[in-house]
Amino acid sequence: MIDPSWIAALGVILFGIGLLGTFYHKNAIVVLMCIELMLNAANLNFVAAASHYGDVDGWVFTAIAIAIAAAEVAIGLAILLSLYSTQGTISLDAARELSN
Amino acid sequence: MVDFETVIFVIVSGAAIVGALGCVFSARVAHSLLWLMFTFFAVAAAFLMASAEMLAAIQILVYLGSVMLVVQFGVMLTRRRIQDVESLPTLNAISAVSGVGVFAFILVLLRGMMDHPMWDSGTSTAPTTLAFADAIFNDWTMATVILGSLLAMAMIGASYLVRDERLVNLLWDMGAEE
Repeated sequence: MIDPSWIAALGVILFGIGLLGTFYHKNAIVVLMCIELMLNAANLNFVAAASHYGDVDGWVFTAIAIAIAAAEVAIGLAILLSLYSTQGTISLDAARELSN
Repeated sequence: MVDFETVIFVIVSGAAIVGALGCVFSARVAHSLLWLMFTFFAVAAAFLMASAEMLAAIQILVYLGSVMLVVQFGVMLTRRRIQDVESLPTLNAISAVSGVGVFAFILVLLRGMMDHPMWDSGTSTAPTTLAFADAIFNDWTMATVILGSLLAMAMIGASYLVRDERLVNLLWDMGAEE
């Protein structure tokens, strides 16, 4: 088995790239995808710690995180679809109805 | 002599990083989505290398099979042409500073992660899938049940959010003619 700290390092790099994407993009769907990327990086950390300590709880947390990510994507895309049908765009700069 | 497993891991992690960069820097949302699926395949391979076979299967079935399908529908339904080029923000000073900041953040976090004393002690024998099933259905039963009801609520809420309340549809629902 590979050294678990390397898997955690891969998680750190993916988290940073996802963070950069959330700063960089204006399209709400791409921001959602970058959040998925960060969730996957967190899962990699859980798996690395689980295989380092030989404890199965990290795997359980990962499975729960994957299920919650599925629910989050469904809700997020439903909000974006209703935003698109009312505003005609999903740019994060255009959706500012709640700002004032 | 380089270990064969190390070579495989370098290839897998390189594929994951290239896919993530492609997801962030693609000009088209559809291409971003394909790069993201590539990354998730590589992450599933990394799960396999940590001997978490069950999680790799869940990753491929749930993430690549259903979550990415839902995102694909979202991409299709929120634009007039599927290959529309996004107006990416031009690289100005602020985005350059934030990129440098994120890079420094990654380096600091990597150093803290690799040097952490937790890696010195440990068993380094990965748990088995049998232990995983035992943990889910015995130790974490309540969490699994709550997770199921959360998913059901999320699906009902999503279908409520995307309902179509235009008058013509409501009239058609009540049996009116076209």
